[in-house]
Amino acid sequence: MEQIITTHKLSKRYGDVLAVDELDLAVNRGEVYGLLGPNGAGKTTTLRMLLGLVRPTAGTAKVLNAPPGAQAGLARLGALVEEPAFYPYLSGRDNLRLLARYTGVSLQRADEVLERVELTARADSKVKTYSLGMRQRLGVAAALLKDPELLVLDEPTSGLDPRGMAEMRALIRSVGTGERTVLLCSHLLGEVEQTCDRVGVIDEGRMVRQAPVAELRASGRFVVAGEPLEDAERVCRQFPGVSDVEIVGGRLELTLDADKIGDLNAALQQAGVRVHELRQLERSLESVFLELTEEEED
Amino acid sequence: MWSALRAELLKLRKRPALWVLLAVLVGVQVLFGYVFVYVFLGLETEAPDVRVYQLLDRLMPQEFVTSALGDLAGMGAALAIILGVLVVGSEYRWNTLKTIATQGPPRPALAAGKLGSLAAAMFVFTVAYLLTALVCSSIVASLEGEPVVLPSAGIIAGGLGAGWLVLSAWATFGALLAVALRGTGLAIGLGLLYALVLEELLLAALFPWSETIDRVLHAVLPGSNANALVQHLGVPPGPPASPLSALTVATVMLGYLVLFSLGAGLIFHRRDIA
Repeated sequence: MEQIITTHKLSKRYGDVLAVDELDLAVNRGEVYGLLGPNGAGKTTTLRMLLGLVRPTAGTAKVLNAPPGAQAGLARLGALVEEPAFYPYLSGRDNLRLLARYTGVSLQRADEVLERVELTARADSKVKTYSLGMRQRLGVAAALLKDPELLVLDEPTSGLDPRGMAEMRALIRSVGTGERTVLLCSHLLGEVEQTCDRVGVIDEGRMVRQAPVAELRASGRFVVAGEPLEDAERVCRQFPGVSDVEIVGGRLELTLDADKIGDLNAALQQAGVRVHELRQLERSLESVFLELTEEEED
Repeated sequence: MWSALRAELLKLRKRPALWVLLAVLVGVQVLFGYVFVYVFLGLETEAPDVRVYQLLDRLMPQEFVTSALGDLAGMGAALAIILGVLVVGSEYRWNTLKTIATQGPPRPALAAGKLGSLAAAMFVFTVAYLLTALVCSSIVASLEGEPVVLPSAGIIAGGLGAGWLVLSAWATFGALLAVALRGTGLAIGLGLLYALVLEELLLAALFPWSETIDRVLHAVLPGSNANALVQHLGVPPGPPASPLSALTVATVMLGYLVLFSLGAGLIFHRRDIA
């Protein structure tokens, strides 16, 4: 799979503070990648380095096969970093037209993206009269202006009401379909869980874990419900690789490698057990996150 | 670079601060350069002496370029510094640099667009200032029943060039301060402090010690060269304190324009956009 963003031992030091510490990151084309981490973990500094806004102290990075900040890369990406910043004395439409002039995009495109973020009705109002949520939408519109291959969004739902947040998530998912890639930076675990295919957990500037959301949430524990329960328990206990078998609420819970679950199902059926339920127990992303970041603290 | 320049010009054209500063510049010129002086001359009609006639001559269209340039090198410099700071420093205050920078234009093009738009604004300021002086002096001439006689095209072109050069050099000085200090407040304060106070203080403090140092400072410092440039065009009290010729003084001002521009561009290019 083509990697659209790669970093190798990327580091950024501000005086005595090591904000990002030898970070290795890989984002594949076509995925919605979530960069998770507590406040001050180094997420935004990482994004800033990827966008060429700040220069790394050490390490290398490539964004769309170009060094960070190179015009070749920036021409194909859209970004919203931290709070959206616009010229307060200009209208939303004029702000976007201004950005279109910088990039050489047609002025018509400004109207299209305003429509996409449902801001057309207030497009001619000055930005200084916008609410935080409206500015956030305008920020996303600005990021979409170039119809980018890669969209970099830093806390895109910040300041939005619940409906706005849901709409923004839907927008991110719709943008992140096909060949387009989204790098989403957030500390809202629910948001990442709902929108991302893969997640990198960063803490104190270091990459703690990078994996698909499903893999992160996988606990390695399975639930087996079947009749008769005694036969099911016997088969499970005798099955190679199964451990920690428990009966919880009339069902079995056990630990097993995920790739052997099909074989266990076949063994249960062969023994005459009627299997009602066979699934992996999933942990919440929150518990995974806490576990990973607490491990780091230890 | 052209797309960045076009974007910067749009931003500047729609910015109220530009028009407020231009209105202040022109308004002060009309009031203090013509209205108050003319009213004062009217009160002195009982026994007019040579000074009154000299002042009246300076209000005539033939002198409009030199009358305008005298004020432009003083108050115009202060307003140019303020505009230079605002054009660059507001980007830090509003945090809009990251918004532009992530759209893709290279930093040198961004810096060139900003400085180019400042130069264009200073041209508009100079033209507006000279035009206002022309209109005011023509009104004074008609009130006095004098014919409207214009200075030569060479003097008008020279005034336009000198005015633009002086304002642009100070505006880029403001831009340099704004980039270096990443903001507007301190940059405006320090810029005005230097242009209006520090340079004069420096000259006054060092003059008693050495005439050579005084001559060197007059030949080197931007404010002295700006004054010398307009004095070479006939602005009183001329001749200039600087020992340099008009061409050399213009070259020094051009050097400052290039130096401040390169300094601002270099810092902008090398620094992180926080």
